[in-house]
Amino acid sequence: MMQGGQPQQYEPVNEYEREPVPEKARLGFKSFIGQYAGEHTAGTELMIGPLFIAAGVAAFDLVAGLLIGNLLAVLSWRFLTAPIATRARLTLYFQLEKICGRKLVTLYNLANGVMFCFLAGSMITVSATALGVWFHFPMPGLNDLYPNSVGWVLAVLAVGTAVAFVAAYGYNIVARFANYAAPWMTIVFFAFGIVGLRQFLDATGTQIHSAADLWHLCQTSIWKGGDPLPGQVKFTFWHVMFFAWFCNMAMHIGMSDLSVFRYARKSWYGFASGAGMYLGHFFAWMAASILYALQLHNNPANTDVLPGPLAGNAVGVAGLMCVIIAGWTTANPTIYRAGLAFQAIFPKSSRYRVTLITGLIVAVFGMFPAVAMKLLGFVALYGLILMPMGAVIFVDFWLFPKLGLASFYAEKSGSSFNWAAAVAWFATLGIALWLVQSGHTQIFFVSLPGWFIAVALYIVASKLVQNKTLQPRPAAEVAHVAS
Amino acid sequence: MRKVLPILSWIALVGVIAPPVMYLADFVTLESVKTWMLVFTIVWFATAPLWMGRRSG
Repeated sequence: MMQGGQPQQYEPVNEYEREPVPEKARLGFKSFIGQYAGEHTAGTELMIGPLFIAAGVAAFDLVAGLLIGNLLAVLSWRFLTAPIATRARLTLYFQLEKICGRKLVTLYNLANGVMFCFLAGSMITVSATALGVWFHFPMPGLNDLYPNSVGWVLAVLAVGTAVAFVAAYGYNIVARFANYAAPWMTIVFFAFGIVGLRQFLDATGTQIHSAADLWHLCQTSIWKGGDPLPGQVKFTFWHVMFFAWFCNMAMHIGMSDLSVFRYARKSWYGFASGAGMYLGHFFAWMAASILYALQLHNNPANTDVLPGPLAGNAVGVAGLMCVIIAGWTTANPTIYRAGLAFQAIFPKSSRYRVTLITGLIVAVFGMFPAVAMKLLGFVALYGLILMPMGAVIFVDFWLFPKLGLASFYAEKSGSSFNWAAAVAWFATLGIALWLVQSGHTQIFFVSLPGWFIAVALYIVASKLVQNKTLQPRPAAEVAHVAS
Repeated sequence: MRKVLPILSWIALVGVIAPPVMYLADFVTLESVKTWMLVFTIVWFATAPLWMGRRSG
């Protein structure tokens, strides 16, 4: 349905973008449970689970790492993101603009938009693997970086173009469809695990009489540990724990979900993220990994991580539908968000055109299996790139009033580019990437020290910048951080 | 009808997960799992949009 040449009724509701969310618009706990459960049972879970197996993860390391890592992620949402969100009640972008200035936020938008494009590209990749089951074209292998067949390119292009048009012109239809699909998808993910487990019992001739028997099967046949597959990084307990904690780092420690929790009545609603973590990032990852472990058990030479064939072999057409829908419904908002980020850079362009072009770029990214096949490392990099701005917001909100420094510096000084925040962002990334490149640590671990580096850099740089431009402020004036 | 639709939908969700559970218990074949999961998937998507997210009354 079009109105006045623009499909405005299909545009998602973006309210209170430049003002605090008022009391009447606040939402209850259940809204957040549903949102997190839906968002984190996504197409990419079907890649991540198998990649754990490819990384040679052991049963205890996986289970304990996921339990603790996901708990740390939930606590990060609860105690870092939600308290600021429910006090300031601003979007991430508006709060950052007040701190960093419009030009630096534009740069942040660009980085965010590009990362969203890669992420959405991997979701399109996942969906396209389902088409390969029906059309039998060659699909990429675990270590492929480039498209390997015309059929693959056409399949990704078809899925990507459809998703791009829908993201631009029918966002709300898919958003509604995603709501209907979410409970069903969660159930189908469980089905993957259950069917995979039965097939493991048959393939190994195992009889399960107790929990100890099941655990023995997990340790000896499913998550066996040992060497990773060629080209993959070995995953230990620490890798799993930090991956589970930081795979959504952009959202919690990076503060992207300020935009979500600004609607929450209470900061404890941050615990709602647990629904997404333990349904999606625990059960769904384990279920998907069982299917891949079964594939390797049946044919060790078949190392391809292809969610379509994995799901199709397990539960048939319902599984293939799950792969397509999981990729599509999560790529849809990701492309939309990337479009919004880019539109902020080109404000005179139509949002529909920007989103459409963004979606088509995503489709091209999706043809390259590099991101999907290296998703573990990419997700860690994604969190790292956006994390320093989360540290900047944290320091600005909680520490600056206590240190006698001005919060919302850009707004108060009229600056469009807060150099202190820029130094904190770029220098943290520079140091973190140097630590990784020089072999001092791996990408999965560097974000933790990186956060403290960003905090320290922002405080020191702000002292230097603010002393030059702002007069010292009395303590009472900076008491915006009320109780 | 509005009261029946949610019940049908929830039955469909149970119908999606029940075949895999019965397969785990070795009561049904994998082929019937695939068939019944598809049938109940269709029931879910046919009924859920008619009531989910809509205000009652």
